[in-house]
Amino acid sequence: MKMRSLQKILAILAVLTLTIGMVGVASAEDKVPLKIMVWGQTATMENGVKTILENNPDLAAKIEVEVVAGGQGDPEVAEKYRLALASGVPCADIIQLNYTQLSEFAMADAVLELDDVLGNVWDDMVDAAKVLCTFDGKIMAVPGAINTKLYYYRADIFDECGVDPTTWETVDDMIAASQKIQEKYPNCYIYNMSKASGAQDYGLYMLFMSFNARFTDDEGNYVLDSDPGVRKAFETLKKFYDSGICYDATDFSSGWEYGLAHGELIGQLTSNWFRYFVGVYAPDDSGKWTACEWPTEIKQGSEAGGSIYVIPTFSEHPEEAKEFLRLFRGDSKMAEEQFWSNNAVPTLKSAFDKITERAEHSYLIGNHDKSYWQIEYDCFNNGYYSIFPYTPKAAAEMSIVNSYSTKFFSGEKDLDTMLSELNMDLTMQIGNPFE
Amino acid sequence: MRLYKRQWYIPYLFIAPFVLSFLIFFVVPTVYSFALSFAKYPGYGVVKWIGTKNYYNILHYSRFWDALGRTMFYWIAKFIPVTVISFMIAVCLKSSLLGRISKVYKPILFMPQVCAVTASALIFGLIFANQGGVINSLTGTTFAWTESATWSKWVVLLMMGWRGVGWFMVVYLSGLTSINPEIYEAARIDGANAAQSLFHITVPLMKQTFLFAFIMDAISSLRMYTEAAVLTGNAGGNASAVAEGLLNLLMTNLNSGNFGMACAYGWIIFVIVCVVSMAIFVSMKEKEDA
Repeated sequence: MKMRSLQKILAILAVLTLTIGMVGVASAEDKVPLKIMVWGQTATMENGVKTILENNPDLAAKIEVEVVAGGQGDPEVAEKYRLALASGVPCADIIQLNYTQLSEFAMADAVLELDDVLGNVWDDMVDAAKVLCTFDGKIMAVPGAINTKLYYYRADIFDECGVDPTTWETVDDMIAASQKIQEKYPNCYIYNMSKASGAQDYGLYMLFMSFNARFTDDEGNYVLDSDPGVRKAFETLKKFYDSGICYDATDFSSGWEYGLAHGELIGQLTSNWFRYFVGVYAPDDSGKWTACEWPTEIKQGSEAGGSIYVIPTFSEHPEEAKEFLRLFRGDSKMAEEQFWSNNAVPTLKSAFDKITERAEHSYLIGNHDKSYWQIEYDCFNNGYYSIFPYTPKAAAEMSIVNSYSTKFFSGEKDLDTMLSELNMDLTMQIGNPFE
Repeated sequence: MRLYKRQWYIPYLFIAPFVLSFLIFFVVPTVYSFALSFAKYPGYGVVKWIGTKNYYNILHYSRFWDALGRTMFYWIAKFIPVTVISFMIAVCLKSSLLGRISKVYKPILFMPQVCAVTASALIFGLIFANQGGVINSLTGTTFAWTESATWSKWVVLLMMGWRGVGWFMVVYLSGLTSINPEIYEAARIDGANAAQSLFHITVPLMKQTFLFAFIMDAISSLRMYTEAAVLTGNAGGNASAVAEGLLNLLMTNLNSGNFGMACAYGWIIFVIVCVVSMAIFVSMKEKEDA
């Protein structure tokens, strides 16, 4: 009897387990799992997903979105992308990349074209977003964050000293303004560059873009030793370096953080992502910092373009991924919603027009009757936005360029020798970056 | 006997898990990486064979030789002071002078080894920051400790040494424990003082421990990566060119999708580690034989 009861219980349990399992499978099958890989924190993307799904119940009923971090920075995400391509095991349906990496994956035919995602809103998109989405004349990505050049500065100190950076035409104007400020505030600096290593990374590349520099010719041969843009960029940075107006600290170093926190670094030629950090490092200076365009002589270009989202060819749910991205960046109402919930600056003109009048930044102030957001937005459409022609070996190139930049700024090598040796090393270590 | 013959495969079954995992996770990747070191490969797509070009390019790259010199510097300049300090600490902890206090000091001295390298590097970054750093604030200077070609390698070295003392101390403590106390007792009866015991008994009997520590230190120093990358790293995560070691160059290539070149760097580092370890082993052996 006891044995029979036990058998019954076991049979019931088995049936229940099977039923629950099948229900579970059925409900999971109802929704398409969509995986989005980003770098750094997942919170921002998760907020974006939440906004999209809350406002689009039809899509919410159809897809189940999982946001995963591919690593701390974009190189780790690219590494996972490569690994997925090599192994044939998909890692995500939507991947966040830096524009610098797009050429590598686009040239390897590893990303889907996205004409049908952004085609309908193409005319409504800001100029910078159009540049950021395009590779080789095709729409290959959806814009994430557009990185434009902006000069951030302490409005209170600049106003007190009678300096208006919106009027700067040349680098010399900037140097003269610095001297004027230092007469009153001798410990304050309006730009930063390390004395030991000089300009590095994006600080260097932003200047390359100012002068339309190129690393390679059309055949893929390195031409840094003969490109006038590269030379002019180094000369201009050296002018800054030698002028004495620079605060001796590299971006994101402990010294840089100290300078911002203690009001010694009061200006920075940088990109609009600086707004994420200035309030963190100088929390007591809320309402004192503002921004404007770079001096006319060097305002051309951007900071590495910005971040983008691509759909890899190995995506298991490309149609759902496209539908999500269409709402994520190609829908005016959603763009507006995401701005209010996530501070995501819209890439659609129609969305931005609705928010500019009402929106104020919580930390940064505007100037010349423009709100901070309007200043940033204007840079998306000022006709100066362009992206450095990154090769598929951009990361390797940057590492080699950085090492030679240090040698140049430290005085170890003159400009001609440095450029010649740099070109030789790039040719030897990388060869043709497009092969 | 017949049973043994029929069950000849049993021992092989027992070692099969290890052999299989060794083959899959060590031998195959090793052979694969060696093959890739003769190719241009972005990590996916077509493998383009280029012969010994990766090796040729590395050996003709000035930055490689700079990094090699710096790696050797990190190893040699660290070993002697760290050995002396940690050996002296180990002797003090082993002696009866400190008594029970030694139980408190041991974990404290070993603590830097337990701390994550990244966390330690961030703290060192704050201490040696050029603006507002502890050292510069105390001395009233503005040295770019972690950025200048002159100073950054010393800061990396200091951090490696600070982390290494605890590990060496434990190794030397275990070596000291293995020495028979009766030898010291006999020496004391014969009139030997503490210094004589140290130099004529402890040091000679610790030779094997020193050899082990020296080889282990050589291997870890030649593969140093995180200290330079975090302490002097730029926004892209690569170590500064004025402080990087060989492994930093390997990682730079790996992050850039130059898998062929990265594999070649890996094999060069492997050969250097083998040569250095063998040289140490042979020289110590010769001294012992003499």
